[in-house]
Amino acid sequence: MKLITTVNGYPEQQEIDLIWSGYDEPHRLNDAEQRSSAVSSLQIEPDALPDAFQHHLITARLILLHLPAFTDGRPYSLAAMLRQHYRYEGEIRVYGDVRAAQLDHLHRCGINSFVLKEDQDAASALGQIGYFSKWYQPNISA
Amino acid sequence: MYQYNDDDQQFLQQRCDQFREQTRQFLAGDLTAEEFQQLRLRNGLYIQRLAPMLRIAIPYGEVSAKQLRALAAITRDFDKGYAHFTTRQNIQLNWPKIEAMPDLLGRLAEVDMHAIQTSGSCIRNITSDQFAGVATDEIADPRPWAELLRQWSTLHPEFNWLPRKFKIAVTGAISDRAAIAVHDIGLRLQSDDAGLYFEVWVGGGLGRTPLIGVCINTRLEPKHLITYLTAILRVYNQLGRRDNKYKARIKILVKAMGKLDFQTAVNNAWQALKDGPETINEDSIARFAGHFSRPNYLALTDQAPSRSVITTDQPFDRWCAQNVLAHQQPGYAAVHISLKRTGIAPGDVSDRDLEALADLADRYSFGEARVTHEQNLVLADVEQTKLPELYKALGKHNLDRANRGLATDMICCPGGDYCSLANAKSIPVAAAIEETFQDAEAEHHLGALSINISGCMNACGHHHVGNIGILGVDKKGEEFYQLSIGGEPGEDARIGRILGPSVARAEIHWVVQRLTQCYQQHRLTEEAFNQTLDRVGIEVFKSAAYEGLAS
Ligand code: SF4
Repeated sequence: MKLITTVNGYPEQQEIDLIWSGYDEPHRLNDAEQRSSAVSSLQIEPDALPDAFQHHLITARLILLHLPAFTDGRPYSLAAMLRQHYRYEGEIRVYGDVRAAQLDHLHRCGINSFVLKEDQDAASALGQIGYFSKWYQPNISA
Repeated sequence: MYQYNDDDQQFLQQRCDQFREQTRQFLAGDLTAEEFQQLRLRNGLYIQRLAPMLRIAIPYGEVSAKQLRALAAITRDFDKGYAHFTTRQNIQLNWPKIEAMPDLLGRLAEVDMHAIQTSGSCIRNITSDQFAGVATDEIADPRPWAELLRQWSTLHPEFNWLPRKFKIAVTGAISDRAAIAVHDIGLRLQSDDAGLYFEVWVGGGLGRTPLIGVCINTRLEPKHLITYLTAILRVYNQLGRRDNKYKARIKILVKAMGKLDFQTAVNNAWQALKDGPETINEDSIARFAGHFSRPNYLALTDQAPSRSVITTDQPFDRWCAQNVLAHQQPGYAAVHISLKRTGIAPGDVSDRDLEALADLADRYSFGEARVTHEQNLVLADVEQTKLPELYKALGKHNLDRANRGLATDMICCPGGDYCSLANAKSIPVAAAIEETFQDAEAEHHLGALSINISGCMNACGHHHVGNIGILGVDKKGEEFYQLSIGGEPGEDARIGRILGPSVARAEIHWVVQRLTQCYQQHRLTEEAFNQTLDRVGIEVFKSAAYEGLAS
């Protein structure tokens, strides 16, 4: 598990090869990667459906999920599907409006890396994970 | 009734501790109001017109005598000594203080109660048939499944931030007392030669866009219940609209996609989950069923049925005929306790009422009571020979009204007296209608009739499915009421049709009276309100209703 704190809650762009959203054309960011089709890092907007980008999951090592607002539940289901349905085993990193109180649920959906919003306390965020001794549902492991 | 084990209790304790810490952070200014709002909502706490409101969960309506007593004490210690039963089988407190909330939740936890997910955009309290396990028309007891779903939906990591609230109802009887067709997911237990199965309905709901659900799976094997529901929720969580809260419920998605496409999407999502680790095995089905084993009934025989309600003038006989229901076990009966009492808001109970009910539950019904979605209570397991005694005891507490399913058994939301979303008051409307039915004799002759009142579009008073539905609207700052007629909640669920222009508060009860008179005038023997309406047409009712009203 990885906890990343940045100034604005958003990761550095150059890490990402490709941005995928539900409506726009996939948007390539990395020139070097453009020549080969192998994509190793993908940024997924919450309206994207995994079926559309599943062909990249074979080479992908890092998937960034965008949480535009802490009340948006879509990245939770995206992560769960990536793990359960597509058997993706690499890093899933969530960024955006990521707050301490959300960390446990995000983690339980199979997200294993977090870009914490800048005003959040890292220690209390980590304290959320495993706060409950037992759950009523199985966790989706990373 | 389901008994909490150590794990359940520990979970609840940790949840209380977590909320105590969140409240502390909020009061210290370390947590924004915006974030705390979402966290408190998921612990049942609203900020209302005059004060906060706490909605306490009563899973599928089952409550023990011990819990009723604790609730009584809580209303005294943290509130003004009364509480309100809701159409979601929950109970609400109207005047708690935010600072006291952690202690209040702690007190609830002592009796295995909580307010988890009674609000917020998540899976809400699971509702069911108040006669589960005792109804004579039951195919299978829905409670083990309701409890299984309660556990599954409690702090589900994936579904805590849905586009909008999500309500699930389960029924296991021929007559649908859980109104499954107007829920986000409605489950109906059925059985055939191959065993038990579920019919799965989705996309029903009231509110701004009332819709009857559609059946997307006519035969779901019970072991797949969790995985299939996960698939439905996953599709909804991903595709449900988040740009407009009035279009965010699953019913809008199902309607927009169409039944077939929605079904396909669910089936695709289900493929990844089906037969996976969340498949329910025989052992856990048996374990859940074991929590709802039959109480220690005595070997008794049935007493002669009481006289018909119309032919008797004896109050006890009348009460028996109206409020006492047949039971699976010989010699036992299910007793409906009316919380629709003159001078008291529908569904309201005082601390003393709660304590009296707890005592009666202990004395007559294995220490347990049920809450109905019509805002009444039930003692489900009463010996028939003890009915006269129980009737007398209920009378001492003004709980003996024989009006189950009659005109004065109105469903009524808290409305403008409490609720900050209201357009108009609803409690005084119920009181005014109630006054026109002071003659119990006349009310019995009128017979079964549902009058449902909501203070706004959100339809907590289920006005769309009342034979007569009343909806508060705001007309240039004045309280007006829109009427609809012909609604029905059960297995023949349908949405009422709007009658005509809305009417002023001072007129509404007279209009209702004219509607009931019109029904009585036109009905054939044994004909229900909606049957008469269908036969003679809405225009007849319309002209009766608006007679003499300036339009
Ligand atoms: S129907 Fe409207 S007024 Fe009545 S309780 Fe619900 S939100 Fe409040």
